[in-house]
Amino acid sequence: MRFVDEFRDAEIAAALSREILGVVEPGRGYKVMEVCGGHTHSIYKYGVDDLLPENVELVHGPGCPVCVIPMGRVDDGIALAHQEGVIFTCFGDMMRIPGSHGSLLDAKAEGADVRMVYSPLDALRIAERNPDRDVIFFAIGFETTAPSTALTLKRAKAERLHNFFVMCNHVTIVPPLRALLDSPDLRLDGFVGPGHVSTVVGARPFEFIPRGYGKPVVIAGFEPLDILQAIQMILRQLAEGRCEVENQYKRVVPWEGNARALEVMAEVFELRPHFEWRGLGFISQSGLKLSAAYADFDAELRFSVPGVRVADPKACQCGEVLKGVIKPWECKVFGTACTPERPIGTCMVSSEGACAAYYTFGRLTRERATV
Amino acid sequence: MRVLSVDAMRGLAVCAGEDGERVEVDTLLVDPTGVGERLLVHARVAIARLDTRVPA
Repeated sequence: MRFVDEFRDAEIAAALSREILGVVEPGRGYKVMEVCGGHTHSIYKYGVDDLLPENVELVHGPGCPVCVIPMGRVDDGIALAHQEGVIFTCFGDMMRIPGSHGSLLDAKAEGADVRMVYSPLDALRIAERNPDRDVIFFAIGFETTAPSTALTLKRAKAERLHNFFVMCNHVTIVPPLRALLDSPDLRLDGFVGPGHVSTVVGARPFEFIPRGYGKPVVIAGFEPLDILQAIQMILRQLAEGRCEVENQYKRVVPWEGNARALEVMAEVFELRPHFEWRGLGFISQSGLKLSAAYADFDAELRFSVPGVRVADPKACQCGEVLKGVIKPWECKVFGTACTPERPIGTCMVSSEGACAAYYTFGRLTRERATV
Repeated sequence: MRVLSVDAMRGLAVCAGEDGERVEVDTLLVDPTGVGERLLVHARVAIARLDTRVPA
């Protein structure tokens, strides 16, 4: 298939791999963070890391939307699902995220009306078909998914629907990156920038990274050659003493982003003063809530939610995985007590989670193929 | 996803994914689309058009 096959070509991959070998400095260690969970998934699905020299390490970032949801928000969602007359809707992987006392899937088994949807628009359609029920959509995701929720809310308002509500957990990508860069735990040399978020926000929001922190950023697509080329571009910048934002994913990402999507988001959402992230704690202005103009659709205003902060399970080290401090296999429960079938932590649930990617593709230690 | 048909009035299009599955997609956030164009779709909303002029 066009725009897919040419980005999976083994010969080009080998050539890129040799180019990478040519730009790295022997004896120097490089740590490159791929921000997006979609990149993590592709890296292990296609074995991109096998094509890198020993001294280039990929560190997995916090860009998996399901993984960063704190347990308290899951509990709030479950509490809403149990309310009388409510149809609670969410994306499929969200149903399996463990809360303090089970998951949304468990709530469904206990009798709550929890339904999986592929989009907020599906949830809206359920509300249209069930005018005597209150339908709540558990909205998660970065700027990639937020426009979909925003557009759905605009449709709900235009249709004057009174039984459709959103529990908004949308987050933004720049504040956690800034938090990571300010963290003393982690030394990074560059970033593979999030391709799909960038289709919406553009490349400009990432300019603070080279400007303020002296690290290169290359926005990348999700095919294996996209990622390999982005890594080569980062390492080339370092070799040449350059430090800037580059766009490897030009076929999809415009430098300025999607103005219409940003406009819709600005109308429907406003920034929360702070929002809790799993493993990263509270980060200022990193979460979205519904704006005053859409307050009638805000599930947290319409219904009573516990709003209790819940600590992550002690055995789970998702926080350290999300910050890139440890590799998934270094977690005490990885692959034993915590598996995709019976996850303890969020990173083992979503296909974009680093733990699920490592487990699914058999990466139980760091291995290298000979290039 | 590849655009199979367009409902410009409602800002919707029927698209096919890599596996051939057909889904209805909201196209209000991208410029008017035509049959055969490729869209980046997230949660059934098109957030970008694939620029086929950029060399692969």
